[in-house]
This record gives sequence, structure tokens and C-alpha cells, in this order.
Amino acid sequence: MIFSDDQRREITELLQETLEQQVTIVYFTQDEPSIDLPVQVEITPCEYCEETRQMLKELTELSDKLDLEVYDFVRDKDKAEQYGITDVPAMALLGEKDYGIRYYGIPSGYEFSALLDAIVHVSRRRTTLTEDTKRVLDDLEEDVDIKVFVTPT
Amino acid sequence: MAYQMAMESDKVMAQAIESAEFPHLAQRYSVTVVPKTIINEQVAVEGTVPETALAEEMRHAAGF
Repeated sequence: MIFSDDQRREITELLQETLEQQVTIVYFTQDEPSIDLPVQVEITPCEYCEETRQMLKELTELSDKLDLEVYDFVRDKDKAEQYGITDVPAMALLGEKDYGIRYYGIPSGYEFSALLDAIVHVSRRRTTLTEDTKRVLDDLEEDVDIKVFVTPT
Repeated sequence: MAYQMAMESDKVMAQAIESAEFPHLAQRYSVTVVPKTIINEQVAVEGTVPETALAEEMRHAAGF
């Protein structure tokens, strides 16, 4: 169990109060090495993949408005390409469509709160951006890729 | 904030990357302070970026 009983209770309450529409977390993990090794070696290709998967499983079980899809980075290569996934663990947050929201790594500490925040926004299908910002976004002529490097506290 | 930008526009993709787990990426982008925001591989901003500043940087990066 990743979450304590208290945490589960708190998160369940939060989700009940804030979620509106369905959110799907598309999660990418990897449990086998990417290459064929000549000898049998115990290798973990992704240190935090299993823990992250467990965390997301427990989280999505706390609300029927949250769905989880799990894919393997190697075996489900076409899905990984579809979502533009380049590393694991990784997740995409989807509402009624793919908004282009990705998270790479295990969302622990402060990053877990940030993930919940993102889930709530996606679930509400609306942002709190100003009209000025929305105008800038409407005027974009090219694609914009934003990478934000974070670290757990 | 970046996620909200991605929600608002089909042209925007926002990725959060945990630095400690992806040291090769942190190194590639010279991440010494977090958060660090990279826009279109061209513009880098250290520290939390307020909404108006992020929108401005995106405007520059998207070429107009």
C-alpha cells in the first residue's frame, strides 16, 4: 500500500468535492529490458515504474471519475509513439481529448499535490487563465513545447 | 500553469519532468535550479514563472 488510510480518506474526500468529468490517466511503464541480453541478468529497467503504477492504481480506485490505462513502453511501442512518450515512468492526463499534458517520473511529495491539481483542472475542463493569456494562446502560429523540470520535496 | 496552457491550446504540449530520475535530461538542459521551464528548446526560465511571463515567453518562442 502506497497511501495510508488517512491519506486515502483525505484524497477520496478531495476528489469527491472537486472532480466533475472523467479523467483518464494513460500510464507507461517498463518491466523488461529494452534489449535481449546474452545472459540471464536481473535487471530493473525502470527503478520507480512499479511503485508509480501502484500509486496510480490506488489513486484511480478512489474515484469512479478516474480511469487508469497501463501500457508497456516496449511492448506497446505504438501507444508510446501515439502519446509521444520518450521515457518511463510517464503518464498522460486525458479529458474528453488529449490536451498534451505529460508527467515523467514518480509524483511524490509536492509533485503529488501538483498532479492532483492537474487532474482537477482536467476534470473541470476549464482553466483559470486570464483573457490576455487566452488571446496569446489563440494567436500562436506554431506548436509550443513546454518542459518543466521539477523535483520532489 | 504549463498544464493549463496545454489545456487551453491544441498547439501546446506541457511536460513535467522529475529531475532526479532523469539526470541525463537535467544535464542536457543544465538544470541546477528547479523549477526550470524550457520553451521550444530555445528559451529557459529558472524559478516559478507567473502566468503573464510564461505567456510572453511563449509568444516570443512561437515566432511573433
